[in-house]
Amino acid sequence: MLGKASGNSIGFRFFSIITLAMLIGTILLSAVISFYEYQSSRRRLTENGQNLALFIARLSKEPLIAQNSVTLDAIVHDAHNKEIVYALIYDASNKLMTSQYASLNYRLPRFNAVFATFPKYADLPEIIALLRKERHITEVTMPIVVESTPIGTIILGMSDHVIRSQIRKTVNSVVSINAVMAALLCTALIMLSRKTVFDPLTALAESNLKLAQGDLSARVNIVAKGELKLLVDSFNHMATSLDENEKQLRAIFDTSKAGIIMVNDQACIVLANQSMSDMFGYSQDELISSSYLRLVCPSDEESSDFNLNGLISGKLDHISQERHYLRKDGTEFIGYVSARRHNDSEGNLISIVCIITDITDQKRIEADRLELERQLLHSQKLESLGVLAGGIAHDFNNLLAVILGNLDLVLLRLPKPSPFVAGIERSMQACRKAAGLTKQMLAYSGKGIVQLKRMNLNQLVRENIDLLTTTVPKTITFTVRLDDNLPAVTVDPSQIQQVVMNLITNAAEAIGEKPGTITLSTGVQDCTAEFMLQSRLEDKQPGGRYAYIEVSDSGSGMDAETEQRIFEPFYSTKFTGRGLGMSAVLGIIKAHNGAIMLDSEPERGSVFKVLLPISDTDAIEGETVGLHSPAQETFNSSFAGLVLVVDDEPNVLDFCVQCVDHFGFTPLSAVDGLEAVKIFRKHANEIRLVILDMTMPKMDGIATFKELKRINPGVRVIISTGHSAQNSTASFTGDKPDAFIQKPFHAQELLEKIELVLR
Amino acid sequence: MTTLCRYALVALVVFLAALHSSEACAGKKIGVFLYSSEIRYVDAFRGFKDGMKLEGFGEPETTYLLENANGNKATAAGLVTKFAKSNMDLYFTAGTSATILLSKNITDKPVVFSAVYDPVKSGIARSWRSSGNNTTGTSTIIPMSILLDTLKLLKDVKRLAVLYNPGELNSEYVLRDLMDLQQSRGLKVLPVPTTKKEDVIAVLPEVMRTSDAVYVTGSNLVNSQLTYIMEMAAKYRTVTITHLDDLVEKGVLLGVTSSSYQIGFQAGEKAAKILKGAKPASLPIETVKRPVIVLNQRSAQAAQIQIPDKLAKIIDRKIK
Repeated sequence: MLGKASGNSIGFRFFSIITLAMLIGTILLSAVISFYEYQSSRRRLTENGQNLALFIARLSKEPLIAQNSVTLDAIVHDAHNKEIVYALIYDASNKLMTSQYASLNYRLPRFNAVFATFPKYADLPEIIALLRKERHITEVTMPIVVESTPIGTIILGMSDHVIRSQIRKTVNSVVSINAVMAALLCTALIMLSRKTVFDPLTALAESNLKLAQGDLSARVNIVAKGELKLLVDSFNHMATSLDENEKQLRAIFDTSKAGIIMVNDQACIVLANQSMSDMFGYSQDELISSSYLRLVCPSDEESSDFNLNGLISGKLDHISQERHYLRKDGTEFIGYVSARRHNDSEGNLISIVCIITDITDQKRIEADRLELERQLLHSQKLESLGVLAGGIAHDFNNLLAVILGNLDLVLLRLPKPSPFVAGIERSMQACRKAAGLTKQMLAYSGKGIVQLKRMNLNQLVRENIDLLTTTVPKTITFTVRLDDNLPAVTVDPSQIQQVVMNLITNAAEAIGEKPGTITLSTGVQDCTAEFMLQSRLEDKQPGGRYAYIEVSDSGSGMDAETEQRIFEPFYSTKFTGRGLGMSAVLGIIKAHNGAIMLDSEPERGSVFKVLLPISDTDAIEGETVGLHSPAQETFNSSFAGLVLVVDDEPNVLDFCVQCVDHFGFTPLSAVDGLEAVKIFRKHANEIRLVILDMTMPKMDGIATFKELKRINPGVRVIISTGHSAQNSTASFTGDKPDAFIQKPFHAQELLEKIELVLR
Repeated sequence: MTTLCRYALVALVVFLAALHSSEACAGKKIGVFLYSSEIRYVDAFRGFKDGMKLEGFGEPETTYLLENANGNKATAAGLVTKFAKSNMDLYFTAGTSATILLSKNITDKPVVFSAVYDPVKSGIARSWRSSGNNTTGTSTIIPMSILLDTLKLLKDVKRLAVLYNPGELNSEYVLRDLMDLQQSRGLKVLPVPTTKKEDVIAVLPEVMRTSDAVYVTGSNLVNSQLTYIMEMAAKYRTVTITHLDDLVEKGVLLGVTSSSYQIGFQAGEKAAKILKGAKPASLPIETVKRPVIVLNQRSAQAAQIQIPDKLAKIIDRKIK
């Protein structure tokens, strides 16, 4: 009737309460009935006893008078009923006239058992005395009277066991009736209540239990009324809300890219989402019930275990840290784990929620970024150095231009023969060497002169083999291996020559005075993009087909630091080194859009491989690709007219003015662009040529050129600059200058340029 | 007239006597009324017939109409009425109850009784010497003094319970006789009135427990419960004694008895005399000449009672 109701079910409790109430009622009723019944029965017993005594007395008169004990025995014996325990007849002298077995009622089972406890040879008076001590015996005494004369006495010992038995029966009846009525009433109540109360409550409880056990589809589908209907509706609404929330959370849980797990106090995984499964390669079933520590790399296991125990014990509330994790296939990855305790309302641990994110890519990106930053910093440093070197070279060139120019003028004006010529020529030689250094610095900074030619590298090597051989000490074996099928490249031969020279020089220095070998080889190589990433240049060239020059030596090799810094300007491992050679190599190769590879190990020598992009067309030897198409002719016309010289450097300005004057022109001078424009306006139609410095304050060469061209579009201009013509040309958009002359230059170079422009 | 006349007279007398005798012996109908089928009643009747036979009243000339009341009073009353109309020559009764009933209803025909304990006290006869009516017979009465003496040989008894049925006169008589002797014999006689089977069952265990010996009187109720009585006696190792031999046969340990057969035989002799012309009132009521000591060995073993030599010597019959 109560279905699956347990001892705590409302139906059972309702039934229990009703039953208890009925029971208490029954007990009370029974007690009351028993009391009144007992009182009534005792009265009845006494009355019965008196009536019986009267009857016996009547029968006993004659036998008593006759002292006929046998007859008296028969009388009392016959008088026994279920209430009489004993019946005694005494005569007038108080002599007991009845015998034991007649007086005692052995037919009472209860008292029969009592009699059996008395002494074996106890007389009747003794037995009566013992019986009188028994409870539940009431004595009735009646005198036997004949004509108002007492002749004897009857004493009846009445037992109330009958009364009690009747009362028991009555109570039993009452209890039985009550029990039956209670059962019927309870049954009726429960049956009535079942539909309206218990079934809905049971259904509600069962659905609640299912819900608590995780079955969110549990609903109560019964018809109820009143408060129960409210309860049922509320429950269903709550269940629906929970279900929807769970679905949302489940969706978030399942679709989250991060791995999410829940770990119990035994460090076992009890829940895992798909991302976790994907991340580690285990199925969700394999994850669940497995130990969290199984996922951790052995190197991190100890600290992970420590932290996990801290969370479980409550010493830690949450942790966030990187971990090395182990996938199912044995590979490792770096993960970021964020774990937090999930407690109940009393602070006891329910589970630990862990979110693990694979940050391997992030780490790699970070590492790459750091590497890029480092490279950027290094590049910026090198660029700064390049800018510095370029700046220094520029200023130095200006100074050299003055020195060299004036020495040239002096040499031109010095009558021959002169004892000063040798000294001047030595000075000029020194200036040229200084100019070579600045050239290298400019080459590093990528601003050296580039006169591109489509040519075969083998040709360059052959042309310079003698020079290269003399560079190598006799103790070193110098071997040259050239690829006969080498394709053409478009390069500045002088710069490539410089590259080769620097590499050979560096190799010879690495070997030192010990015997060794240097090998110079050429070839062609198909390079993949990954291979090109190994280039020491910041700018990586794409994969493709490249011609290469390779210099390998058996020298001391380089350690990692040296290898890293070899191309830095002013870095040298030799006390005497200036540290510009390899940086110049780097700058030249960069200007040629090439790549340089380095493979070196201490005590195992080094291999430098310079890769240069192959030219699109076949090489034509000796063809020069330059900014100017050369047909160098001797121009013999007399020079006259105005020539405006513009330079902010007074010495250079003075040198140029003297050269122009020497050449036969009438020089005009200006120290900056503004002055130059002012002067040109005055003599726009008269000025045949302008020699214009690039770098000037107030108004630089480019702005001045534009203004001059605006005033007189036909004006001829030679740009004087410390940078390469290619670089300088790129700075002019629209109209281009007629010529460039790189500082330092001597008077002849200037003359040639003037002749070229005014031709 | 002399000798011939004397001889003729004698012959005539003899002839007449013989004729009378043959007339007396021929075709006698005897009505036999037994109150129940107790052995002593049956033995008494058997003795009666033998006594009659010995006196010339044997079967088939003498016919017996046997009626048994089976212990039922109503049946007994009916049988008595029937007998009254049956015109018997003589009636034989066994037991006090049957005798009283028959003798009160049939007063014109001789009634010879047997197995009546005390016909005078029971009102059957006026005195032992002469009944004063149409009755005579034999009594089973045993002097209680002899019985108590015999009992003393077996065990020194201080408390003697007497199982009796108030209303059955025989058993009452036995009780009274014993009670009269209790003081002189230094023992206590405890009456145990039993009127119903339930009385016996209820009281017997306590009687057996609290008594040294139990006297089993010949009441019908006691007889019907004898098996139970003997079981209790064996359980409590209580001596049982009676004056009725059939009760000893049934299990009572010791009997100081009168042979039911013997007293029946004696009754038969009396009946023959009456049939031959004697008046019942002229024939005194007889008792057994010598009691028979009977021991039930089976009961003695069951009660684990050793029989002393003094008693063993005087035992006339042992029932095994």
